[in-house]
Amino acid sequence: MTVSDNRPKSLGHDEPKTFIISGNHAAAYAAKMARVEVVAAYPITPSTGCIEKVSDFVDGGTMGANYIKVESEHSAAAALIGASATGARTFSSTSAHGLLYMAELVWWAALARLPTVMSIVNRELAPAWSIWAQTQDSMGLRDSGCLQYYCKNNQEVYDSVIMAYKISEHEHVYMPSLVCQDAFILSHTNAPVDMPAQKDLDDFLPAYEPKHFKLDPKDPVTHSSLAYPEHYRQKRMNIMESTHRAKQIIKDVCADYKKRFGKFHGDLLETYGIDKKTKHIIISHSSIAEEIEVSVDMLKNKGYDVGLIRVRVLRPFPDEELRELCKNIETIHFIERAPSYGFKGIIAIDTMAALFEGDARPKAFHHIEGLSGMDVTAEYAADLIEKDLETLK
Amino acid sequence: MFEEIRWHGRGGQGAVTSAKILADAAHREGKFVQAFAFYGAERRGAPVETYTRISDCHVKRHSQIYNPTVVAVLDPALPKILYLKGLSKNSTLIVNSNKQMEFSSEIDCTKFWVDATQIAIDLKLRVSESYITNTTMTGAVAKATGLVKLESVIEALKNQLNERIWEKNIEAVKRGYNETHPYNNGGK
Amino acid sequence: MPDAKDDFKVETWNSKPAKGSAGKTGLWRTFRPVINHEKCTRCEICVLFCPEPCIELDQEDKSHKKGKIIIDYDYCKGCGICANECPQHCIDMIKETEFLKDEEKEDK
Repeated sequence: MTVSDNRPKSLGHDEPKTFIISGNHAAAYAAKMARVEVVAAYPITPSTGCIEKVSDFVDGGTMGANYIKVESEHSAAAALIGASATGARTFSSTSAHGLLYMAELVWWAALARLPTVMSIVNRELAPAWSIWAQTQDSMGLRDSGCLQYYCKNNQEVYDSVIMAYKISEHEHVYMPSLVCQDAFILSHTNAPVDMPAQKDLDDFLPAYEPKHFKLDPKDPVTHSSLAYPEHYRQKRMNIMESTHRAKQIIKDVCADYKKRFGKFHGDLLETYGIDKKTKHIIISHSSIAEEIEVSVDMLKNKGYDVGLIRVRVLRPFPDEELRELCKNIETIHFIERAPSYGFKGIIAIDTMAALFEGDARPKAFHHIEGLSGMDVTAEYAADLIEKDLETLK
Repeated sequence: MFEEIRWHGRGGQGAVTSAKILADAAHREGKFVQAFAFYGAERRGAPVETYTRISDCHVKRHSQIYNPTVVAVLDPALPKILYLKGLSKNSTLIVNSNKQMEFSSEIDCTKFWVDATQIAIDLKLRVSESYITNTTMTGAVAKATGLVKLESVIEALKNQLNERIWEKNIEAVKRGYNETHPYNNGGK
Repeated sequence: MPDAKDDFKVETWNSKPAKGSAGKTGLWRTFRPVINHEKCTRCEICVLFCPEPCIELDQEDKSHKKGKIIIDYDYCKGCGICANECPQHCIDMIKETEFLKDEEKEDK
């Protein structure tokens, strides 16, 4: 498909370029280069930097989006839903209480099958007030149908936002995406982010053409009105099917992106230091997981047979992939930032459920760490695992 | 090469910008970099820490810097206990001070001093109550450690700061670079 | 089920007003207000204006019939409002580095 002339402009760069930018700005650049058409957002720490940058782009004329100023996050999500339903590519960014305030409409966007993409900066929920990293805000919305990506560094944030549009807008998916990054640890850390040339990105991500419905005064339809119980099962199971199909689509899109731009951060999950004989596996997510790669090196040097799986996509959940990787392991160690009160870590719950459909019954160790952005240093994580393994002796 | 630089200043003195300029400069010389800070309730005058990591390859660490290879102190009146933590004898300490500030003998790292506050006064680098020593100290770190070239710092500064304040700050970087002195006993 | 007699307690987030609950904010100071007690008339304008508030009149001090104005340097952030408001202009803002040496001597 060729790029039509009426696409919003993005005065992106003609050649690939590297910027030293924060995770927030990485998401903003991605929105700009994805030629987003409508942005609606309400600033909240620590995601403010993202929409500030977007508003700079729009104000400076380098991004041709309509920026809708709203009075709350709830309204921001409502504006995205309306815009997305008319066939516009839409973007927003929020965090913690902002995300929970728009939660009603996050579900709405998902159940209405609207492929909007939001950059979520994962922040601890109050009380007590905290602005630092914790992933419960978005993980708490894991049942909504939104596809959820948890990024380990700024480069991945940029790449994931671009890929999220391609995946969400796939004709078999049509679900929103939440691209998540840790508060401050990524959102406010400046690091190099490589970006492809605008024309190459345009080839990868063509203009959004709604394939299933579109709100258009010239062709009136009523969308999402009252429906009776007998209709729900089919429509909801259709969402189940789409989100399951999204797994293969994510793999394909990640592979295509890698081929074109040389960037790959895993698809549904990313492994580090794992082979078929690995006995002990650490499961983690987000930026913690990248630091734990250093722990894995340390532990291997000490003679421990450990490897790491980073769950990159929480929904759709990589259940078969985890079963395959954990077939022959003895222990599994969860280090995660998000508890589900009343049970265990959110990723641990899903992983153990996935493994239950296979034969492997590894001994599990659960660690909820890094709450409110507490540092999980490589040394600290290595020490946790070492202590786990000592209990086996 | 894996260098961890920790900057100590006060809210309003521009320590975040120092960390970014140094990172930008090192990136211009082909290094992977990270520049970040510990963010809390930012208040003018409150002690703050910011960080720069410079490495030959991609840095996987995201936690704060506990064992810095370089410590730069933007404000001479900061309590020593804040910025001496985690220093080893292989570290380099660069203090904004109008003389060789005295340290106890256990602090056996390589030391430098530069009168960045005086440079800020001379160049009228001031925002309300604070003298802005960040660019001067970035020049000082470039000189003391040799991590980056002076020209790279100036280019990075132009990228990071508004053109309106380039001139003064480039002068500050140059003076910081040229007026950084090792401690008499060979820097020890 | 946990034993009802165990030492588990429900924890909540509570804080009460207390002096210096956010740490010694005196560390934030770049300039220190110093009172010239000879010129000071004990009018207490500085006490009224101090936003912290860390200036008070010590009535027990017998050096003057009204007492003596004292500044709590543990918490004074050096904002300079007192010096600005003082009708006698008897508060000077002095660079904190000027005091470094004296304090180091005291430490030893």
